[in-house]
Amino acid sequence: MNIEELSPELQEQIKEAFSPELLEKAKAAQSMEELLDLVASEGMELSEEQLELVAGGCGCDNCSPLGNCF
Amino acid sequence: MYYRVNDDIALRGWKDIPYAYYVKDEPGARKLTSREFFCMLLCDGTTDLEPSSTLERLERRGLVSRCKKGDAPSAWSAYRRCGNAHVPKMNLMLSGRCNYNCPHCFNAADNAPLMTEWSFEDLVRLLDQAQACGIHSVMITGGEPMLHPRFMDAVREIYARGMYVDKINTNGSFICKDVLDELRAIGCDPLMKISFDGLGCHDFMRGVAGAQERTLRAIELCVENGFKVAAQVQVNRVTAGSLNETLCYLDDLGVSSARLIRTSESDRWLANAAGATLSVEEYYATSLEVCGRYAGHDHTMELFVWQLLSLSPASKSYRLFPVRFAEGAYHDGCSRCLANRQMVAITSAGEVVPCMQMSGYFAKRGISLGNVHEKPLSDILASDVYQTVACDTVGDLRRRKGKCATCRHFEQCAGGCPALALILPDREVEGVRSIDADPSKCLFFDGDWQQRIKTMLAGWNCK
Repeated sequence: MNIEELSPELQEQIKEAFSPELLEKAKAAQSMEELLDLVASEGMELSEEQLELVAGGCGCDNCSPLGNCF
Repeated sequence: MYYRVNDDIALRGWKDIPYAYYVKDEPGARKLTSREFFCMLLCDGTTDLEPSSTLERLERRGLVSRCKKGDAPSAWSAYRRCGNAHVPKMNLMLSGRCNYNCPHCFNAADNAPLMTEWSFEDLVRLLDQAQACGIHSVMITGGEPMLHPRFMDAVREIYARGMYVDKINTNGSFICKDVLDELRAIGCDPLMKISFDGLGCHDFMRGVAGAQERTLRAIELCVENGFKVAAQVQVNRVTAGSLNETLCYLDDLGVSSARLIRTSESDRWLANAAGATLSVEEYYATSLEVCGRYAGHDHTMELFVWQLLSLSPASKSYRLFPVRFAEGAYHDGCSRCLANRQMVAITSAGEVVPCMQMSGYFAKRGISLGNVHEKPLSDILASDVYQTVACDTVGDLRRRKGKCATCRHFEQCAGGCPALALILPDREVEGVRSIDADPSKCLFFDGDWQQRIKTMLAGWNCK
């Protein structure tokens, strides 16, 4: 998979999401799986604090259920 | 092979959450791994993709589908990154006016000349800004929101921007079949949160003769027409005696849930019903007794006791709101209040507050986090003062070295409700940056209410 053959919009989004170093490595990726492995290896996973904010995120049992307030 | 993101899925990112997704008409953003996110970016209908386990997984989860070349995701589905911190919900006070005259509420009809209301033009501008900030769901409140002359148009404008109405707070007086049919036609299927303060008490609590009959009819109509209803019930010395009978009645009507709420010491309530307020301890005791009776019979309706617990008859279980963290689960980075963190409340005057509970406190003291008539919503959400309150963590609270810092219950409690921490203390809190312990939770832990509840609800599981 050649990242430079992706649509301009997608290339823009990738540039916005990834560091210049990752982008360079991504350009050299030979396949989609290699590209996805590269992304996964770059430590971009959400932190525990970030996961708290998204459903199915951090495992706090009683994180201030909104049903209490509203 | 070509894939596209499904029409009911929207990829979003924010300053603090680079990637997540929304499901149409369902609450909250959902997590993605970086691999899944990147794979979904490639599902743009124009990128020729090889088979992969990630793609298969996404397809199985209903996030992407195979398509013809060129079949791009919808504009709503396509990835959009917002410059502000992640805020998925908005609590919008559509109108400060009300046609009822509740003795406890500042928005009562008596105070109508003081009340503001959104002009339609300003509302549309606000909704544009909300959409740009990545807000997904809107809870509409008031006053009485259906009093707004363009109420249905407001609902349409929300849906036109890919957002949805998840709840409507209403006194029910404007609910009729036509209104429900019109909401349905828009695709609006909100939880109808209808105030009902008890059999024999409701007319007094709403300040209007005939309110009970109208409200009960509204509840019946909602249930008959497939709308879920949550009844909101004030708890004070006037209503306490009717609670048991009222809850049974509401359950029989098919109401999904009822929430008991302590009537707080507002100026108007103190002027109209001096001595009718229950202390927090009395509220806990009254509510617990009601819960005990409720749990002893076959019921379907869920019961919430504001700030204290919820009862789920279906699973014969209850949940304690003051116990924020199970043992060993505490971590410093958690939000002080997820409601503050995930919802922005906007008053009918355009003031941005972390929650409506705090709005009266702020207004009385001239505290402003920002007004959307003067500044864009995105700027207010990014402001230091808003971030201080909304993004306050339990670790921040502990580091302020107030009462919470040395409390042995802290890693279970985490400080409780910041609104009550502002409103309840006997002495003035030194501004929003110094919000400390919520006294109602200190009472809960110091008064061993966990054990009392366990005893009263013996045979029920505590989740």
